[in-house]
Amino acid sequence: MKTRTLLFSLPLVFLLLFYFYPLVRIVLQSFLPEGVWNPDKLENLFSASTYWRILWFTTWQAALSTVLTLLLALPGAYVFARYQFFGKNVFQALLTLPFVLPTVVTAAAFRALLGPNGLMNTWLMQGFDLAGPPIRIDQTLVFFLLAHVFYNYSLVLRIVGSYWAGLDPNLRDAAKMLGASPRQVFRRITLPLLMPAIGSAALLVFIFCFTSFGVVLILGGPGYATIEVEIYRQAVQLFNLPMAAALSLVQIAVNFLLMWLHARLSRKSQVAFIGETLAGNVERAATPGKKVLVGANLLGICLLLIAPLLALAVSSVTWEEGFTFAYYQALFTSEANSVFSVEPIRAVTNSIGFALAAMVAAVTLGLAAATFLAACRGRFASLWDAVIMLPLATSAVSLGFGYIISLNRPPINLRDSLALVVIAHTLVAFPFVVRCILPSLRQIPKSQGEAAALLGASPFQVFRWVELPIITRAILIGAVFAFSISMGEFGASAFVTRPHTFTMPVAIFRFLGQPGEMNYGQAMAMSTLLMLVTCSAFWMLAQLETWRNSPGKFLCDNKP
Amino acid sequence: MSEHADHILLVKNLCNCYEGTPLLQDIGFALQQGEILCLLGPSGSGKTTLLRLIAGLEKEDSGSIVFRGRDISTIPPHKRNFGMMFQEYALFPHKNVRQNIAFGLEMQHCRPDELLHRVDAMLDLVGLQGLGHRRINELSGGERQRVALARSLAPEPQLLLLDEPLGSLDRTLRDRLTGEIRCILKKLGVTAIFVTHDQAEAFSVADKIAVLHNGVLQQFGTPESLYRRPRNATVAAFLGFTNLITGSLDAAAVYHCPLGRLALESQTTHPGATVTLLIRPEGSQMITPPAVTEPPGLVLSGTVTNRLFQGGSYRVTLQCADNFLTFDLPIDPPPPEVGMGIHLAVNPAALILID
Repeated sequence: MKTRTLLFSLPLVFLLLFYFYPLVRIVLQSFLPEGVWNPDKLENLFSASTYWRILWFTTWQAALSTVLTLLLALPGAYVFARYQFFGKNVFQALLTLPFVLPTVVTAAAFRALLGPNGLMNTWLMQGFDLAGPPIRIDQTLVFFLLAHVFYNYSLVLRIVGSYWAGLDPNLRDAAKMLGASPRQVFRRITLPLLMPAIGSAALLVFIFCFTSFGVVLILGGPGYATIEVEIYRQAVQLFNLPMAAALSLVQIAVNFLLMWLHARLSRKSQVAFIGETLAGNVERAATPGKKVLVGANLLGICLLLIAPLLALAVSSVTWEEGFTFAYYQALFTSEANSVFSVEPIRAVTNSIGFALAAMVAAVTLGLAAATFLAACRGRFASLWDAVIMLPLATSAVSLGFGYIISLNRPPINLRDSLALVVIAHTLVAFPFVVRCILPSLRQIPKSQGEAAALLGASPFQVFRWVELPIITRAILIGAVFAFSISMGEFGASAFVTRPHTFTMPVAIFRFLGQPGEMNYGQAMAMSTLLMLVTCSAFWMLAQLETWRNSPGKFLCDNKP
Repeated sequence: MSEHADHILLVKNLCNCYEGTPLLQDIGFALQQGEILCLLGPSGSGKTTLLRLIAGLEKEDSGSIVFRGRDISTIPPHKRNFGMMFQEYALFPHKNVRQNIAFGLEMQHCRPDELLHRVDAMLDLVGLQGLGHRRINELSGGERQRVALARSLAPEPQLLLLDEPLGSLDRTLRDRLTGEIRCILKKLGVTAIFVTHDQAEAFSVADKIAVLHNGVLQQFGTPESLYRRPRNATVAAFLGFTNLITGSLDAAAVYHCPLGRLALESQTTHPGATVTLLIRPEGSQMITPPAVTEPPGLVLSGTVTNRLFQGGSYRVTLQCADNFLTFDLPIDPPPPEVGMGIHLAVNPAALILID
């Protein structure tokens, strides 16, 4: 227990320095802008109707996104939970894609498909001899709502689908035997039982959309601003730091409330956050009606999820004259670029470097925290758990903003240090790692450790030979998640990267913000590369798992 | 088939396959109004499948299930008005005890006042008065079992199906609850089919027993007829009989086996056929040799290899030639210690030739 407490000090110190300290600076900045008590700015904030409008807009666009996502994803969850169909594994793998895809890539992909010079518009203009693009949803609400649905569809499908598949089929049979028709079974039994999962998924979607940054910034244009976007504008474009700090404070408060609600809900329903597979009592779609249902959902998935990504890849290799590698080539030169002073391709090495460092740091901190939390019982257990989860509830933009106002002067001056990016990414990623590892650590029965101890194993040996092998899979999943979160992180990176250390999402954002076909094409090329790097991380994870599950490895595993 | 006129349930040539593997082959039996049938068999014998076929939760591949003179294979389960009690009870976790019991009545659009009355009556019947507002996760295993029974009985089903309803409970509780379930079912006159793998449970609850093994109906009859005349070695072994000896019949229908020659009744009359002799463990008596008058029937002499005091009786295993045979002997006079010789006059009624 003592070593575990000592272990826990590691993530705790990290949080104190790189989470609470910047947070305190934000609070100070908003209440004491020039070192003196001056709540006028805050008063301005609450009296100015603009900011209430921003808050109201942020709320209702998140609510609308949530409702739309649920409407589309719930039929999909049903199909995946109850039916077996051709290519189900492939579809399941595809469904994880949007969830791990950086927001900036999502935004770029929708631009590529439906933007003014996107594929759909180009084709329609050529096909029907139109003078202008017929689909004009760029810089409108529809555009980023669509991206929100894309981003959260698979999240809802996975959470609700796995919960649905896990429902005891005997409950349905019992209701049938008591005289309930299929419709009554659904309304009276299945739906009420699904409510915790649906509620938990809906809340998560709401949180993600409420804190939406990259998608709104890129697809919504200057006309729309969520709180996150406004913080960024106030801080970076208008240099109004006290106002940005005040908005951050509002954002943090709302997020805490939502995360607390979510924690309460998921504790009650035992809904798994990540990692559940959709296995259960499945049947083949036999009747024509069921076949249409399955087919329609799969078609919907193809249109919603696959079309934008395909459009992205296609756009990165086409220009007016047809096929080209010019965009990719341009990434390797510094002259042709007005946006960067160095070759843009450096973003790839920058990002991978930051991501690997953040992954190692996040796994180390996450493992330490999870080991402590798993052993921790009693009143303080849930308190510590909540403290660890705090960074998840804080918006990345606020975090990045907090860093530039706090870590640029003594006592901690990391202004020009590369570590700043890694620290920000680690902070965002490590609660995810804890969430991956903790459930499997908690599932290990206490008696297993006791049995090992009675067989002569020291506490360290118990950890090394009993617990660690059981949680290896969870650690791997956590590591890959940490890696991909870092690869795609945009909100904090927009603040803390320096001109020479820009990451891929930052590069994409800057390309998209510049006019001209060359910049647009390079954004597509960079997004495609980012998509490939993220996907290959998950592909490697899948390969590693098959390798671990192969019989030969199993024998090796049994060797002490 | 006039004898089937008063049968409530008639199962004929029922077959079912799962992905090419036959689960049930040519099952046929009939059940009368108010009877309790036990489907008895080891796990994987197909008994739950048979129950789910009758419930309508699975589809038969061939054969028919006739209920009250009507083939019910096209009727969906929710229109059959059969009750079912599931292995792990399948109580609705989002409803309390009362709401669980009321569910079937609500499906029948029962009037609110009558619903209230019926739920109360059900709670009384299973002895759960006052627990109506408990949540399911606040109940003990035995209480859950009662709620499940009350829930399945509340809509007054025409047939009650019970799938190992006591499987997850401990021995003492099971013994008490089997008695209670039989009592309640008999009081209401419900026709019921009860699935179990425990022969003691089957004997204490059933009017009829159907023994299933590998998807084949091995024997169908009253508990007594099953016990007295198991049809084959599979049934005998499943009922817990261990004294099985292989022998053959000669032309004069005299049975030859390692224990000697015996004149016994047998269905099989082919001379030379291999026939198994079953010696049931009860009713045999110790005799003190040299007996002045040789008693009729079979006398076994051997050495005691195991001797277990069981309260009302001794369970004694003796080695007789190469066979180990087990008998339940009265406590007086006490049988000899392990390693001593023993002579037993076997109860003639306990000798049965089976296929």
